Amino acid sequence: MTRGIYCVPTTNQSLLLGPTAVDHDDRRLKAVDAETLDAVFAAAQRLVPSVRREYAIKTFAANRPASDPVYRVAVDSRIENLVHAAGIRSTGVSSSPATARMVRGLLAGLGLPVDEDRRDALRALEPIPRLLGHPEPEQLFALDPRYGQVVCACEQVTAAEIAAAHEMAVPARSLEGVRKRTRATGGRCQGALCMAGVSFLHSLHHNGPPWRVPVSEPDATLGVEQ
Amino acid sequence: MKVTSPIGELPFTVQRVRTGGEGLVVEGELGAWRSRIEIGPGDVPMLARALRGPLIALGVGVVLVALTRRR
Amino acid sequence: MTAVAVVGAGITGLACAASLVGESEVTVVDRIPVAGGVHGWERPETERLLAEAGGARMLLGETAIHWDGRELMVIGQDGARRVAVDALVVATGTRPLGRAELAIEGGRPAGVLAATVACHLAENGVTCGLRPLVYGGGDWAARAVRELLVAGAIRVTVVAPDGVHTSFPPDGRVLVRTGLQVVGVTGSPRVESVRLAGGEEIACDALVLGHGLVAVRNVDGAVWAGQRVVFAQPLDDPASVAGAERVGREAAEAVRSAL
Repeated sequence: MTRGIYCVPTTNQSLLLGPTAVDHDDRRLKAVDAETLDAVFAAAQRLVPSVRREYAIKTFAANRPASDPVYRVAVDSRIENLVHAAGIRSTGVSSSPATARMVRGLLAGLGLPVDEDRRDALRALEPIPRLLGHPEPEQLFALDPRYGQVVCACEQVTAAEIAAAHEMAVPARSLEGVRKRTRATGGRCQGALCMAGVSFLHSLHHNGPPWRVPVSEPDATLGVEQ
Repeated sequence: MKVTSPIGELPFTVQRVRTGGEGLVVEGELGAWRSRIEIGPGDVPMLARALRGPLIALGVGVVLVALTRRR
Repeated sequence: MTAVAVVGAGITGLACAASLVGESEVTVVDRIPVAGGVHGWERPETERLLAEAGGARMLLGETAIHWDGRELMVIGQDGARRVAVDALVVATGTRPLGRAELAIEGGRPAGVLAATVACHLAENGVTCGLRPLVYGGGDWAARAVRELLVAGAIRVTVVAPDGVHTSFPPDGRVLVRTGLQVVGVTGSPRVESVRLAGGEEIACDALVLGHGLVAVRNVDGAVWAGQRVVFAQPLDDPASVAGAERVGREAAEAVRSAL
């Protein structure tokens, strides 16, 4: 189970209502159904009576690994160079720094040189400045003129940000990847106005025909082969 | 001239053709957007292939016009 | 003199601007670098209204992102502009309903596209599906059917829950079913079928959402309501140029009363 249903203000200036949590064993099962959504909304409305259903722009379900016992942060019992950091329900983000320290200790226990000085190691992903909420948009334009081309109007995502999402250390490889890095196609219209443009921008980095642009997994393609 | 794009069909107007970059630069406007087409030596084979048919048609057309004018 | 900004240079926005241009300083903003909106830049009505709105400052190819009741922030190829005005008119048009708005159950397989997206992709040579299902019976659905066939569809099924409001030219490759509602999608990684209310399943390799119309609201500060904002977004389906022009002129009247 989870800690229950919340109204969560996100860093994207939207509100997330939910979640429920159901244990099952089909990793492809990511379906929403009307009854569950009604229950989520009813619970959210008890917390925040002014929330309105017609403001909902997206509904979704996703899977996370569930195991018993939870918090499997350990070296595998059979494979000596496999370390698990899995089965961490609910508290994955908040416990991640501590989990990382624990994994580091496990790697040290296996004899890896964890204290080695690697000056060129990437410690954090380079932040991509966003137009949304920026106090001085003129400065962004001086950084990169592509900040002058808004591609996703709902989330105010510019061509500069979309390009950066494809050039960063962990580049976007699908439309979902672009969305998660930039918010493009994730706004009120859910890509109705910008998804074609974003797909074509992605296809420039994708090395294949536009129909083959992956929406999510590689074989979940935008179009079909003619 | 018209150009199709992911945001729809747009008018393309040429304002200036000059030499620059690797070869030829066509400066124009895609609607209200400033737009530029740069044609370099590497583009010539592709253009030659694409224009072969139309150029032959154009050549035939020019000859026909010249013949009719002579009368 | 008062100043007004109109976001949207389609028929509605241009008509509003044309009505106000003699009495206010009018700025028209549109993210598309040509005027005309969904009706198009080549229409005689677009040219007529552009001429009538000749005194307005046109910021085409620039995107209005934020309104705070006094200033409109606009982003374009020359950077950011702050346009100080006394009133804002939102004439940014409409779009069909999205998945969440239609309450369509199921996962998120590939091949479920807004009609706007399917049309743009098809016009650029992308085959969205060989056997697509188009949901809707109005303008966007009809346009999607045309574009999908040109882009390679072999067979198109149209499901029009409220019946057909516009002309679907007779075509042996198109099957139209009316009075039915899509309630779910199945398939992975691509959509394989849709489920209708009542349980019937229709096989397809793309679901194009072209049903219903909702106003496009993407100017921060003018989404559900806003200070000194007039919304001018006709929801007629099929849309008419005359109807759009009328809504634009009515918006100008509303601005006059407000100022």
